[in-house]
Amino acid sequence: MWSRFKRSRGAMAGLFCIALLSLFALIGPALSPYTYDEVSLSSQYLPPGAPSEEYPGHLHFWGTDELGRDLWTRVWMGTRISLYVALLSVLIDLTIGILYGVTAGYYGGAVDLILQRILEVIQGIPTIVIVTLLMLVLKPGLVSITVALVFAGWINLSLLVRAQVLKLKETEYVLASKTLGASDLSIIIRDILPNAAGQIVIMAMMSVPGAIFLEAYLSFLGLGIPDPMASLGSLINSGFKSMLLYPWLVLIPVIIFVLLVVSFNLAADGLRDALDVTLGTSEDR
Amino acid sequence: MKHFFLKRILISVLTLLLIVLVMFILLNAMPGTPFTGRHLKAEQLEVLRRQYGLDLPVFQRYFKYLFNLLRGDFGVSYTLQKNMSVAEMLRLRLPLTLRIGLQAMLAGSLIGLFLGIISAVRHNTLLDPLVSVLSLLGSGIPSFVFALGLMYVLAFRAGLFPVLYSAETPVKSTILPSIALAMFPMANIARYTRAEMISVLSSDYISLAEAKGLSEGRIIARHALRNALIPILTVMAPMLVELITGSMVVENIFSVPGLGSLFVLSVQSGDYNVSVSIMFLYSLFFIVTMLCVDLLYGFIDPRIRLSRREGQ
Repeated sequence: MWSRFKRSRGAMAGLFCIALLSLFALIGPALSPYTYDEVSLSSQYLPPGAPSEEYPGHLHFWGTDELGRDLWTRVWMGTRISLYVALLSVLIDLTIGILYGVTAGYYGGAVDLILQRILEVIQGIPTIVIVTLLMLVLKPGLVSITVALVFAGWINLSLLVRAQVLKLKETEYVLASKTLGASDLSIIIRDILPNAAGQIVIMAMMSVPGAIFLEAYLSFLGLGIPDPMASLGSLINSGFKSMLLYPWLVLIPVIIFVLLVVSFNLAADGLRDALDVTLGTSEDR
Repeated sequence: MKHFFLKRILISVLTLLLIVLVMFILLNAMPGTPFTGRHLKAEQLEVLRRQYGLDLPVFQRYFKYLFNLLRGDFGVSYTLQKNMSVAEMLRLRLPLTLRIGLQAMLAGSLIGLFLGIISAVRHNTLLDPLVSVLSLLGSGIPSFVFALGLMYVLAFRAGLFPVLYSAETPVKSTILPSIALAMFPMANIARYTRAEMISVLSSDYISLAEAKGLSEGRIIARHALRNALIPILTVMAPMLVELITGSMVVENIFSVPGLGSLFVLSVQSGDYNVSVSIMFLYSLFFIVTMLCVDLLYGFIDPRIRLSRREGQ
């Protein structure tokens, strides 16, 4: 599977970009002497590459914002937070999805029927509406953003796991395990989940850009991460206000943001293609 | 068939009722009432509460709220424009949002279809990877980034369009927001059309049509496209959601006085009644469209009808 993934140039480029951006999100802020919330009113709106006043010998690689905060540091902090929020929410989605999917798919019956009806109703509401409602009630911050993203994302994964479990439940090897007297738990853990893993991982991978997207929207609307913390979305939002005079303030976060989202899309597409071929033989698609 | 239709309609109605319930609970849970900050005596407050029906039991108020909604009465705005009816505010702003949304949807679908078809037909030329890259970017870049880019390049630098919405040039002002919103549907439709067309074009009945000596244009238009169009309906849901989300941000960027920017304003100023009313409108729109798509789906493709019936 890895060899097939490697053959797709787009997917490899995506993976490389994700690795690079993650690396900088981790070490980027440490590469400059500033902190993300260090205000310096004497060095507002410095252009990229301007020398620093407080720290002689250092540069503001990407300039400074309206409060004189170093943009390099803020952008990488923002990338870190965007990635953190997106990955955490998808991880929680995954946990809920597996729990729900296995319960509803494996045990089925009346529970499944009721859960399905509830899901159908929730699915009828546009995501942004649910999420904004939540953000109105919760206090803005990392936790509430994550909760909102989980709320938006868990249904898709749950439905996928359920469908996979329903399908795999009928396979011969599950029947064989059953005849040998395996417990439900061992069938789920040893037979069903490993076989569903491929599809689940693809879906999870595909949800990451969606979560980054949604977080950016919320931040853009002012419902996201509160200042002085930053995410890519909130950086774009605050940069946009002075875009016509200081274009780099919005340009740099936008470039990083687009790179991040497109890389995740590329990597997910490559992963799907790589896995689909193996599945193509066992699954008549 | 009838069963399937009835079930879908029932679910839609249930969803709407649930949304109204959530809206009602939220409105009651939000801090502050329309009467706070007016220094009223307890007796006056009592009179006002009775006047607005706030002294009734909760479930009675819920039904009152529900029936008012059915009559198109959304209540009044508390902070944005004091005591102005929300329905009136929505009525003033809805046409512009609808116009931009429709323009974006129309342009996006047509260009997307076109791109998808040519990249499928010219599968092995340079055009195909070009369209693929375009659709990757289109679905990977959020509409607000497009909006910012268009605003900077076409409006600010080139001066072709007004930077912000102006009531004097309403037509010209809606073009840039529409383009920004059209990118996502365009990219998605192009991608789906391409995939569907490629699989349809390699099927037996297309070979038959070719063997009969039909022209390429005729094959594509009459035989291939018709069958490729059905699965494209499936992308309607994510596209609509993206349009709704996008409209909020894009309208905000271009200062378009539409529903999206009103929503953002109301959220930021805590005018909950306006916020939930707009949410209701968006949800209603979404649910009705999805219902239509599902019904259309069952109508066009007999296989779905049959498989659903077997599934019952």
